[in-house]
Amino acid sequence: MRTFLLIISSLIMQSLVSGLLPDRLTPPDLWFLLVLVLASRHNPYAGLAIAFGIGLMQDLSSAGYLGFHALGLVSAAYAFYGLRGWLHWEEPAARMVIIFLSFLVKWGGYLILVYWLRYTTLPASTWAQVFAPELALTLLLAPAYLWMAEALLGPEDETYA
Amino acid sequence: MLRLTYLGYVFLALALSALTANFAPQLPGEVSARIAPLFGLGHRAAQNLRAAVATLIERRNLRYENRQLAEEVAWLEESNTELKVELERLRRALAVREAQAPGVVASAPVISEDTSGLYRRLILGLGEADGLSAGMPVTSPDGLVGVIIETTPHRAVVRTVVDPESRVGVRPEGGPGRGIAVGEPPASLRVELPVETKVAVGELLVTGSLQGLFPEGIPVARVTRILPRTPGALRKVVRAEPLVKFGLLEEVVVLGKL
Repeated sequence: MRTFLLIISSLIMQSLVSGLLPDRLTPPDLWFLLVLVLASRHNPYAGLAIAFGIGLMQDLSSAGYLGFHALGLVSAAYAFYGLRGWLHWEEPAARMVIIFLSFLVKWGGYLILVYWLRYTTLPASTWAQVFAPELALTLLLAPAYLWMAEALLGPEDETYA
Repeated sequence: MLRLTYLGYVFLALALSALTANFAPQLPGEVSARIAPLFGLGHRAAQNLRAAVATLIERRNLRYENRQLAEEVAWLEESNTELKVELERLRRALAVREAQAPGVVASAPVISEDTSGLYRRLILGLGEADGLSAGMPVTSPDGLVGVIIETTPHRAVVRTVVDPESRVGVRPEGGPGRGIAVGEPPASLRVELPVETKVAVGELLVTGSLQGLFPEGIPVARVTRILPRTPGALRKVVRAEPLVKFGLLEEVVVLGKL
């Protein structure tokens, strides 16, 4: 129930932040942060499935190609589980590094799909203008979002930490 | 094993994207329109917050404004009769305008926008039941907004001119030269014009394709930069800023298909 509440509040927050920011700024990716929070609380197989499902939901809400955000988010979750073996998710600084690197892998997932679709969508200039602001704002908002998620879901289960 | 699972999801995503692109391109748009109310909640809250902040900033000097308003009321009372006459004249003008602009299908509220930074799409609060259908141009008093790409009985998805999949035929307002404006989110356009086209920074670009999706002469964007021409280039490339502020849009006008 609390997980469902976090998903719904994240989606509403995403549209709220998108609406509050000026047109020139790309909003932060709360879908991505949501996936990392849920991945940190589930085993890797369930985490990948959750990431893929949330990605499909984002594809449908954006009226874009099905599988586009799904591939980005499942790649981010996969990177998250890999990075968690090297860095401690519980430490704030390491957490930001994990978020940063997972974000890069998410965009790597996007690139795979753009290549697969033979560049029929999203020209290079779009990437240049969206990537940097989205990364900066996502990192800026991440501490507050993670704090909110922890307050809503409670402390993390040691099994998957 | 986890790697194999991940690869499985990669192949699934690639298959889904190919299927969507080739066999069901309308599916995501239809679902997006149906779940719009969920995202519309945050969108409306953001619009109200922005309006509240703007109001607070504008009304910092309430006392001064009050005095100004008192003077204004006195003036308004004097000119009340004159305004009534003017109102009658405007009503007649509006009736003529409605009769001469049969292209207007509806005035639709913007209830939400897509949440991805890579696209720029809007959800309208009217749909097929109100006469809207895919391919209808969407405008606002400021300029061209985009085109409807998907509809449900009570919702419609609009692909704005800054969406990366948007292509709008444009020409400079002051002279000849037809080109294509391609959307570049979050808020700009890349316009390719014939090399001979004379265009300057600050010049207005209006719709101008022959037999295109949009009526001729709707303002689209203002030129912000002329990119240096590369040797052998067959096109002049300029960047332009759309006239419409999409984040502030509350209502748009939908025109009939050409």
